[in-house]
Amino acid sequence: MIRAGATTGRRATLHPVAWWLWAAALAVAASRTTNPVLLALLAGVVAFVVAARRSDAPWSRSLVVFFRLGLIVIALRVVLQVVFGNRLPGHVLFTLPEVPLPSWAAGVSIGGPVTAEALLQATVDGMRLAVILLCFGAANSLASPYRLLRCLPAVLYEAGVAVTVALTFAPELVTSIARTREARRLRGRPVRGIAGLHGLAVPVLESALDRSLQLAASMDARGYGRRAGSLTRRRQATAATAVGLLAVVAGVFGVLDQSFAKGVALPVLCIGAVLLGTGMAFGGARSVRTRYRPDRWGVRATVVTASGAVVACAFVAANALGVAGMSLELYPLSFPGLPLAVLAATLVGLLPAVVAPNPLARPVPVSSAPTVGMVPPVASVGPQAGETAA
Amino acid sequence: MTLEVQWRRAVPLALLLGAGAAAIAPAGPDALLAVKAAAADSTEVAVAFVVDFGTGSAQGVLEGCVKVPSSDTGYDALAAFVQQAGLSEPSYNSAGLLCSIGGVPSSGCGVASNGEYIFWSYWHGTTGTWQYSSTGAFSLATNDVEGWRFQNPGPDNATAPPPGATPNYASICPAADQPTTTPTTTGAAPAPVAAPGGATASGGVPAGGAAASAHTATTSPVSGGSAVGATTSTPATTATTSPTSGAHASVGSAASKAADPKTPAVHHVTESLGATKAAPSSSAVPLIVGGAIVVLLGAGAAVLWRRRLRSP
Repeated sequence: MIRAGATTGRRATLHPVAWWLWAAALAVAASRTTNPVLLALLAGVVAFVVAARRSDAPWSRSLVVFFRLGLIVIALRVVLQVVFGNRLPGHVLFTLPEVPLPSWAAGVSIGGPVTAEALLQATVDGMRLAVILLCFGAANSLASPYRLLRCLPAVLYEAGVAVTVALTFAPELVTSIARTREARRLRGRPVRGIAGLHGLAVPVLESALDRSLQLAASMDARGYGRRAGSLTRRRQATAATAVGLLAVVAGVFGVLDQSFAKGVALPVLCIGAVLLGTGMAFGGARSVRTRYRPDRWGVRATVVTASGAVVACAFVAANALGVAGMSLELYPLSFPGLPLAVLAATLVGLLPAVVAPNPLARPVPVSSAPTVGMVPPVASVGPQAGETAA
Repeated sequence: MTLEVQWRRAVPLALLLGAGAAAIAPAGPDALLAVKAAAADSTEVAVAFVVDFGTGSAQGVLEGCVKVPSSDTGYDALAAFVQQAGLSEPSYNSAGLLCSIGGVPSSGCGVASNGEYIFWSYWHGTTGTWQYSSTGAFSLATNDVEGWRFQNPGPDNATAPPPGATPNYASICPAADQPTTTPTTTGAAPAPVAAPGGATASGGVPAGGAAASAHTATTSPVSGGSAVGATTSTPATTATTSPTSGAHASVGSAASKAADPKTPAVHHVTESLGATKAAPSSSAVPLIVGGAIVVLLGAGAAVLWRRRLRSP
């Protein structure tokens, strides 16, 4: 068994940012293909790694919740395609009664012939979104949101409440689903099916948002995000960060959107990144704060991130080079291929299941540490206690 | 534990899905089309087609008549016509835009080029003159003349050059309404030739000589949009509909005429040509291998997940 944290007596965990980068890389890979086999492979890799390396924290069930959400997305996409979607020509499976529309509404259709091509197209589109959602669920399952919050760059402390809610909403949602279901079960109310869903949605959303806001407020009350120093400098840094973030968003959109002019997108992305980096460097330079037991970026974190990067690079490169089998061939309808190099790269994404420390491995002296994120201080904490970090 | 119950439910379901997929897989993607065969339409209409591959193209202009069920869309009829001509079937992008006919263009779909577009323009010729259509081919008219012209590039409006043949329904679809038996000669082409011989490289169009020799050996597994019930396991459907032998002798001469791209030859297409199509390499092996890996990963994940639930 791997016992990375054994010497300090706490459970071994990986740097949360490494998990997020790994999951984001797999999501990027999923966005570059429409081959259902490759998409299913990515989903399998994600599920396996989460199953092997999740902790027993309440948010570690996020994957299941997002898996179900993904299934709903696929079903919804198929239903929309059948009823309103493009009438892709091809092999007609069945025909729905068609609502005649005036000529100015050409291109929109309600009902009509449903082809195998259209159904496949819709399913694969839904699958792609579902796999991206699954990656997000995996990141939420594997990384503690509280540890992630502590890794935020100092300049983002200004937007403390928004960032806290954004980062903790999904895990809180999962936790509150479990809690609400438990409460309903104790009261003898249905917890399954449509009846279970009814009466679950509102309390779950409400309490998840409440808890996120509560966390943000309590962090604010303890001085999170406060700092001394020149107000002008701080404002400049914040402005640079905000503009940089906007430019990065626009640039990423331009790079991802195939129809966007590449000559514009890349410079915008670069300028945004530079602005963002400058803003963060200046914003964070003057703040002096301490962190209790900061997460260390170790070799394992690098390996986990690199394994994700390999997958993402393979998919992006194969898509750019037009490797056969990256996209589903509808005309003519044929079985999807399986590019071997891409398959091999996808399996590299499994590396974290072995490399990352097992959070459930027995820590040496501590007996009853409840969750990963909130390990109680131990007497013999070793060299890390009281260490400071910017 | 409720989770245990969930898993107990999920495993048989997964096995059932796997078994169903395994049962369908050998038959190919067309396995589900038995439904379509049962619901075949009885009334047929003859639709005239003019497909112009554009100036300077080796394929020139194809025209011909195709009989399709009256409920078909213009796209279904086009697929039937293209299959009849022995070309690879039209492809569409996810938005339903027609990308290619007979493998032309080989890549890209509606690519912009200097303010114009490289695309297939759609025309109605039922009135006797070509009219640009800004909507898709979703319905068929009586005495319908459907025109498609490849713009390489061209404006996406009525100022684009129309298909290079007169939209005369009576001459393309003769009164006998028997497009399958009487080869009609129009334009510069002296023979009922579907695919001129000069075109070898553009996806699926066979060389003239190859068409004659490979005619009986057609094993294309792909059925066109309206080829009812044709599955991968019955390649004989195309072979049996190509009985004429007289057409073969004239293939060579037509090919030599079509080699000059300056004079666009109009080739009349009849069903008597059993030209080979580009058979896509559609193998189920990658699907099965990939599926097996996915199942292994999923099973591994399930086992690990359960084991960790039990562990204290």
